[in-house]
Amino acid sequence: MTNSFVFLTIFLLLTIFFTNQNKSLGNIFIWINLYLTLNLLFIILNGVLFVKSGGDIGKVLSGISVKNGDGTFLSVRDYIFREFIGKFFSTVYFNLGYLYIFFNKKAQGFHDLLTESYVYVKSPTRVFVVFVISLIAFIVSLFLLLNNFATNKIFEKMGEHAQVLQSENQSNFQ
Amino acid sequence: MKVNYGEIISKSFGMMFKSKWLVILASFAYISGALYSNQSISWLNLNFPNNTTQQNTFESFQTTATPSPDFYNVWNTIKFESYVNFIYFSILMIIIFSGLILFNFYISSYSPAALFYGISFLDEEEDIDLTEVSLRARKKVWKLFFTNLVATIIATFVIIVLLTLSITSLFFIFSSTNTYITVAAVILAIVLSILLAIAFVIFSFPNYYLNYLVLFTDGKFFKNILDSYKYSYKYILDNILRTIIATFFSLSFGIVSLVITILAFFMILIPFTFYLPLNTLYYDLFYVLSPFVILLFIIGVIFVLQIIQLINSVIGIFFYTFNYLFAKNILKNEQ
Repeated sequence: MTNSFVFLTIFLLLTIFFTNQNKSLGNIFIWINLYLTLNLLFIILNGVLFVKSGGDIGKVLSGISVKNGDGTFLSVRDYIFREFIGKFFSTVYFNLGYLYIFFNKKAQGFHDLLTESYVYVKSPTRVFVVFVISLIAFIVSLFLLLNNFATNKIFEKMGEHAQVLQSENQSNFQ
Repeated sequence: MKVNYGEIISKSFGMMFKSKWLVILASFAYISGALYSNQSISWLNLNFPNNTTQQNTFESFQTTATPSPDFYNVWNTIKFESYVNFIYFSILMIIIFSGLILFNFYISSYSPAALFYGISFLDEEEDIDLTEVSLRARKKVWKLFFTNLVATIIATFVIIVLLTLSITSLFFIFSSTNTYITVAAVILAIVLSILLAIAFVIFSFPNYYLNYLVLFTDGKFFKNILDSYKYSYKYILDNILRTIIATFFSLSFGIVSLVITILAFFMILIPFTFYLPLNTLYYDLFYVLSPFVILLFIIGVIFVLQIIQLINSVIGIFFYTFNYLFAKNILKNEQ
């Protein structure tokens, strides 16, 4: 969750930066490209962090580490398997794999069972504090974005653009 | 008969509700689309699901009614920076789709492998160890994938060659004026038809053995494929009987599953009949409650889809156990 909020906050801040630069939304490809590139960068960065520190950005900030049965950090293959195949497996039947964490004695989800990995938490308070901070950062950046849209009159421009397109379409059809 | 079918069927039935892990593993196989594709050779099953959406007359009229886009003008209005963005977008799409295809390849072999290992654990009267199941499945994923791929390519190639030869011989029958050539073409067509029929039968059997050989023996890549053909031919009577039994059960289960699905969908529709605005008395009530009714409908649909998934997963366990035990029984004679 914390990782998702960090990702969304960075994405929203970049959106604010680009809309301020162009004073408009620009091409739709810019936003799709930005979102996808950021996703790919996060996957690579999280992979490196998993191997070096035992967790993605959210986990590292929260002081959580994921380790193998022998106490070492996960390899790249294990990271890919846990994060993609394992977490897909955990979503079978209403995310049962995640709920299983609360019922398992070693707090393992299905994705942890599949890779034989264990999650170590240094301090539950730190996890909670980092989660709350990331949530606040996300909400603040969302408000900043809406404020930015209002000052740059983005919605008005979008409405005008839609009207132009509509009139062009009508003239083409006639 | 090399196989005790009664014992296999009762054991397969018993396995359906024996372990929660097995249901989850089967459910995973169902979601990844591998539950039914691996039961017999995959090229035979390729045409069963409604993969292609046929355009009906109404849709074809619809497309002709809308004006076709002027591609030259559309491309002409895109600025240079948009081109760069578009090319970058295309590169990203290639990366993402390659990743998705690889993911799909991996998961379509991993999920049945994990299910087979789960079944083998229960067959040996042990509790399913998910970690051990996963580790074993991960080791054999690519081997299973490539073996199935090569077997499918061989089967498709043989069938296409035989079909082409049959059509060519038919062409000679009708076009040739020479009596000898016509007679020879008729004989050839009959022989080829028999060969084609045999090929259809033989090539639909190897998958029963192939999965077992790859997952539970240390045989080499091509040896497994050749062995699977050998057993398909050697135990042809057992193979045919197995197919008949499997078809009978799949039809029975299919009918039960369909009836439950239809009933479940009707059950989620029942509450909506109370909200139908048949007269003005209910009219306001309908509009006030409509968001809740829509929410209820969405929850109902998700619930029904989960039930369908559960039913199919449990049925899948039966067929996987049946395949596993059948191959195990047959291969016991070989050792």
